[in-house]
Amino acid sequence: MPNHASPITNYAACILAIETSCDETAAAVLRGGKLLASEVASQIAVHAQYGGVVPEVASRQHLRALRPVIAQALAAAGVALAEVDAFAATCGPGLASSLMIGTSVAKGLAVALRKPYLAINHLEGHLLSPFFGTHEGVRPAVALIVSGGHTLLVEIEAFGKYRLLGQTQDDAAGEAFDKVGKLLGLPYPGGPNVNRLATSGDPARVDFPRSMLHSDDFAFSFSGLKTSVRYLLPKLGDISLPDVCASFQEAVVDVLVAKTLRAAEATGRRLIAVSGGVSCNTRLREKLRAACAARGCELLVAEPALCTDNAAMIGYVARLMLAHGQSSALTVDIDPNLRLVA
Amino acid sequence: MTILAIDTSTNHGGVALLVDGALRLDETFVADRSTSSSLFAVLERAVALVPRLDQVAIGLGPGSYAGVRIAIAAALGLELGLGARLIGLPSVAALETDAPAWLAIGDARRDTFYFTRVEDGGCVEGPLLVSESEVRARIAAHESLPVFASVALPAFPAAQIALPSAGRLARLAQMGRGITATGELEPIYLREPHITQPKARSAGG
Repeated sequence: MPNHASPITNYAACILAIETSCDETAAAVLRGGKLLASEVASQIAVHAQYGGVVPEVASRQHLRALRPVIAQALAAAGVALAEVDAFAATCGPGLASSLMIGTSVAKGLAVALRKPYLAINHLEGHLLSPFFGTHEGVRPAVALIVSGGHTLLVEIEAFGKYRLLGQTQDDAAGEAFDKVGKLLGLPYPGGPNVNRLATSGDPARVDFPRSMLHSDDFAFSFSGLKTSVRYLLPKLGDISLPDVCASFQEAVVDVLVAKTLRAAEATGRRLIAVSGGVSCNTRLREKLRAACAARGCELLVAEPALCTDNAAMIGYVARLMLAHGQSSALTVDIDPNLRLVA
Repeated sequence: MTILAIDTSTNHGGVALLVDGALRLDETFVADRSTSSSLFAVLERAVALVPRLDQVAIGLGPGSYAGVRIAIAAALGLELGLGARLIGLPSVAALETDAPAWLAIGDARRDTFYFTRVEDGGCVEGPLLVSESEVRARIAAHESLPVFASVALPAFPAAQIALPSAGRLARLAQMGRGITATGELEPIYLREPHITQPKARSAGG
């Protein structure tokens, strides 16, 4: 079934974007290339008591939170719904019971106001988020998406033209951070707390394995590293918690940096774009900056507000789709396992 | 008065449009748990028939949480976009039957069932989360009433199959009967989320 509204092909379109792929309920309003508002209702406090995201709880929360989050975004943007030219929502990958809430609200709005609907790939949102707000827009690059749910290297040729170079074969890097944080008894989510403690630790104190560092591909593996931390804990001796955090973090960062730079070398790309929640990690940013400077590469890291799950990045992809004359049929369903590259 | 009614609490979804007492649209579709595409195709046709919507009536179950949430979320979009008022009714109060009163039961998993007694378009008892033996006791206490379920229940082979009707939901909304919620809608949650907590483990474990 074709979408009822004609595609919009101008860059000045006003877009309301919704993101509910996991445990953040988010809405953003964009007009042209400008972000007018980006609101996020985090569920971290709700899920903290369970030590992780509970899909049924997340779905209930999204349903309760979306109306006020949308209202806040529109109010902050100073935009009335009638002014919105298109409605976008994350259609995957993510939790099915969460994705269906945001997509259904966006589709309902599109039906009500007879405007286009855009189904957005969450990974594409992260992938292109470093380019949001830049004068040049999307440029050819090697991109590292590193978050709690994903770790992958992608070659960007242009908007919509991507090549998967490699991805994690087990845990995502952020997942390893969170699991290690949990093992160490740190508050949920563990990743930022591991990063915080690591700042006062010795990254060379424990020589954790750098899994797949020298493999002849761009794949990652972090589950073994997490297991190494678990085996170390009963025999810590005088090794401090900050030392464990710093050493673990160093092992993750070393592999991420080395493989990203190697991917840039292999593809001939001189621009490295980094996104996802783990790209907020201070040590990763520091080592990427140094490595890029040493190799003469340009580094583009997503703004911190765009690193964790947010709707602004979904709106940015929606804007690019509209500018390319694309929209989605209302029959496009969610896909919890949606891939970036088919 | 223009009322749009949606029920996706079972896998037999339905959308109805009631305009000044006349059904302008009454469509059913397979509402698979993982897909909402059929719903939005029908909604698009329904909204195109009228210049405005006064109310959107949603069947809140008991039934598929996923299905009901899709309907509520879609209705939220219609509410925000068109200013329609959202109202919620139990889906079991809008079963396709000529009976004036009935008992509705269903499998609520983990060896439990829901039970409700419907009269005059509203639930006068329940929906309750009860054991199989309690369902039997409650059925026995109302032996003159027919017993309906949306799918066959091996434990209750005498229960007849009856499905929620969006058209009946719209009629109930028009009459103001059985309305259990307005504005902030949620599925009829029979229980808190089932969460399996990991066994406690020491930092060294």
